[in-house]
Amino acid sequence: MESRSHPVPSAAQSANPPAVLVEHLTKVFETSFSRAKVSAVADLSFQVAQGEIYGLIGPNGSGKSTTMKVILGLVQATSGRTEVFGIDSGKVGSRRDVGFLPENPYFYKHMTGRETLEFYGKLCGIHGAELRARVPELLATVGLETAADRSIAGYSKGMLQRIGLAQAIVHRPRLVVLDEPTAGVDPRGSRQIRDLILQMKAEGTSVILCSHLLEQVQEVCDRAGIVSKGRMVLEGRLEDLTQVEQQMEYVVEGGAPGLADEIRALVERSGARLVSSGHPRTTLEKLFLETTEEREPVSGGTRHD
Amino acid sequence: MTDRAPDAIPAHVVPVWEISPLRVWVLARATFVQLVRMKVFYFLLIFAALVLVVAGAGLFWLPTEHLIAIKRWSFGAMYLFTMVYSISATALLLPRDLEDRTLYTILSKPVPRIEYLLGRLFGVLLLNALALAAMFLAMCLLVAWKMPSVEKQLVQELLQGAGGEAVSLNEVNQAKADAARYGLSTSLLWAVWALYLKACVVSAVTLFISTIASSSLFTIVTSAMVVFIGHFHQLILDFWKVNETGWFGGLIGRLLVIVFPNLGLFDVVDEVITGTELTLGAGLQLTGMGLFYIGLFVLVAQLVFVDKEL
Amino acid sequence: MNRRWRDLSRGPALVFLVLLVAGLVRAPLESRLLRDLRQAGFHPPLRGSSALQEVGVQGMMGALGGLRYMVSTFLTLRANFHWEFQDWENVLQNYRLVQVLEPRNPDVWITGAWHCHSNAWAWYLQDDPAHSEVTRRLLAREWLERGKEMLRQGIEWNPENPWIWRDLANLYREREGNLCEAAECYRRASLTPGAPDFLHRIYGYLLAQCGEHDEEAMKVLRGIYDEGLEVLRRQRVMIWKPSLIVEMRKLEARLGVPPESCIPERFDAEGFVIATPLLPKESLPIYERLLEKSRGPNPPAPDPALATIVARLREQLDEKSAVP
Ligand SMILES: Nc1ncnc2c1ncn2[C@@H]1O[C@H](COP(=O)(O)OP(=O)(O)OP(=O)(O)O)[C@@H](O)[C@H]1O
Ligand SMILES: [Mg+2]
Repeated sequence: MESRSHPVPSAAQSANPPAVLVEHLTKVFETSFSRAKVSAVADLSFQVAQGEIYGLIGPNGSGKSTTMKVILGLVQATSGRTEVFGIDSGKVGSRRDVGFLPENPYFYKHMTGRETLEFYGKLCGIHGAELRARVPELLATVGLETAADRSIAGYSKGMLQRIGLAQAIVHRPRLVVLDEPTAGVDPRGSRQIRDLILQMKAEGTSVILCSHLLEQVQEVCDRAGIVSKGRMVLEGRLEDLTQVEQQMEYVVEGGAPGLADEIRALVERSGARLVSSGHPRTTLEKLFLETTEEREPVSGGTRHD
Repeated sequence: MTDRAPDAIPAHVVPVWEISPLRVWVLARATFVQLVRMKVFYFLLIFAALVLVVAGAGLFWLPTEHLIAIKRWSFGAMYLFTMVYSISATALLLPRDLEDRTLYTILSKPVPRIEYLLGRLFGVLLLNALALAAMFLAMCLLVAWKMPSVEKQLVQELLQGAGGEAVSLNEVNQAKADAARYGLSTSLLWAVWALYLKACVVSAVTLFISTIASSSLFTIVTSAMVVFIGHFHQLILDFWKVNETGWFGGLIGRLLVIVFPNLGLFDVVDEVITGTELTLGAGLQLTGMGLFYIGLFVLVAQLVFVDKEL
Repeated sequence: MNRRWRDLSRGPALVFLVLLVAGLVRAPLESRLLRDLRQAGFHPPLRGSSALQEVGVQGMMGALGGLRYMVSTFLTLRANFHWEFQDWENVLQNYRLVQVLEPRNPDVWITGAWHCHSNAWAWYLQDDPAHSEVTRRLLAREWLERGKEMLRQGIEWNPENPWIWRDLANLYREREGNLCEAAECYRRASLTPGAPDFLHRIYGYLLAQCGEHDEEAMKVLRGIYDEGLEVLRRQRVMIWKPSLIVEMRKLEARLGVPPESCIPERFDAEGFVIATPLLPKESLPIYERLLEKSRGPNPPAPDPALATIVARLREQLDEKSAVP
């Protein structure tokens, strides 16, 4: 059986560090009232190479957002570590090249959309003419030109999401972390966002995408990890995780050792081409449901149990 | 349970020299604009109305009384404004950012947490400074306008007081100098500066409390308590000198005095209004003490905030 | 245990420690600042005897914080309102509160007492429609005493203020005719720091007028006279007031001062200038009136020394009006 885990560069190669490195990350929240402990992330490890688009999927409450917050230094790891371009997440410098769109983002409602982008631009050190040129560009990118001078207080959910995306990329970061970027965005907007992500990929930007829209993940991601209850249950290249659906698959059970050769010969004889052979493939959605539902998991991808 | 990885400990700490004044200014300005758009400056209209009523009303028998009343009501309104706004505006900022999750987007930019704290604080201080300056200026104009009648009154009193006898120029000058103490003086500037310093300290205290608290209401109530106790310092200290307190009471009192800021120290307005002079030395010491307190509470705010889970 | 302990030591405990250390560091600085401020007249400390009472007052001040003076002006206004309706009890009550709020402001004692010993007093004597003559006298007397008591309290709080003493003195002089007590009050007033000179002068006059301390009075007035003589000789400026001459003449007569030690009839410094009174035109009639008063029965002529001064003042006025 071929391994589907993507060979990742070692973290020690600091000359060209991965965009994101998460190593044995564990996060336990102590709720303030009962002091009961909630384990949000448990011994999670993964890497995102530079220029790669990585999808993180998992059921509600599986610790995706928490992981992103740790990566951005908003929340501290209980144990384990996270790095961004080789810099510890705890350090301010690690955020120099990162854009973050949190889930359900909210902004100062006393500002207009334009002022919001200017504000975040300035926080990233963009000023003057550069900022004046950048803001309209961003507004156009996320399709908010007409609402630019309206107060944020009147923005719809999807508009907030769009302005959130714009502020995340205001300083052209090399890594963009998107927590459910299309939540509440209409189909056209979703498509625009997808195109934007693909465009970023073309420009060499790394992306971590967290989404419940598996089709979207399937469309844009190079690799994906499925987390459940804070643990990585499955991770691999998208093309490995899922397979081309138009192809025919024959599921054989208990065949004799020579059966495969016979089938291959049969296929060749009929004039068709055997594209691949192996174990059955699944859609990401099926995979998602199966891996996170504590049933006997389907084989394929690297198990992280 | 594994211990925290050692290299994760110095989280978000930046050396002081890496604080970017420009970014702090961006945050401070945003804070200021935010507060202004909350229509806080409408208070100034109320202030103007109040002072004009006091100034215009023929409620006072003597011009000196009238002048003192103008100053007191002006300063009282300034005090009210700065205290209420220092506490409530500051208390609104951080808990609200936490609640609205706007903090996520700000702190995921390369913004050290200390810059965020400073930006928030300076925004409130800027608001207070402008409002105080406006009110102080208005008061000065009124006082200058009313001054001649005070001089006239005091000279008149002198004439009557000298027992039906003409008085010498010397004594007239003395009376005029006496009138000056009701008028504008550098001490008055010191007084408004002390008021401002106190407001800054209160803002810093509130900022610190808001880093601990999770709600605006808690912050406001707690800060108000601290401000209240901060005015009792002198009382507690003086009380010791003249009263025997049990060791327990003594300990509690001592702790209160050591841990809580001494805000009463900045209350020089009252004496200045009735003509006491504040020396440069005392003024500078007062300034130093104010800066010390602001620095202290920003420091402890940072100590709490730097590790805070958002 | 380890983690919990470390969390604690980095969180609340560390903050508390920092506050504690900072408190200890600032304590000496603060007490120095407080000392300086107190020297300049701010933050008055508790005083031994009435300490407990003051704790109450200061506690209240603390509670009211920076607003106590607004409250007190409001109460003053309310008192003025009651004054309009001659509601003296309420005027008094409001002033008592004002005095609790700002005991170190002499004005509140002076004005409060003035309402008692002048306004209420006069109203009961003259205008009170409800009572018989005898009762009215009694009531007036009562309000006079209240005013007196209030001034005494004010002095206790403001021992360095001359004006409360002055008002007390005037109360004795005008309401009770007790010139000796009035003189004593002027003496106390003149001893306060920065007191204007005329307080000492009036002390001398009253002492002379009360008739029981002639020698002491002579000493005081002589002192003022000698001082003026020195100025007259050196700078050719006359700083005596006419009353000084008038009172000294009376004392000279009563004490039987030998003529050679008396005030001379003429002053040899020709062309001296009389220390410009406030408004020369207005002060001339005052001088002339005093000159008229100085006419003794024997001989019935105005005092010659005073006459020289008045003549000189007239000349001075003419000189002034000559130069437009
Ligand atoms: N601040 C917090 N305090 C306590 N528990 C928390 C906190 N934040 C998250 N959790 C808990 O951690 C777990 C993971 O939450 P997280 O938000 O990371 O999930 P998620 O994968 O993003 O879910 P979703 O798909 O719904 O966004 C949840 O059980 C949540 O209740
Ligand atoms: Mg989430």
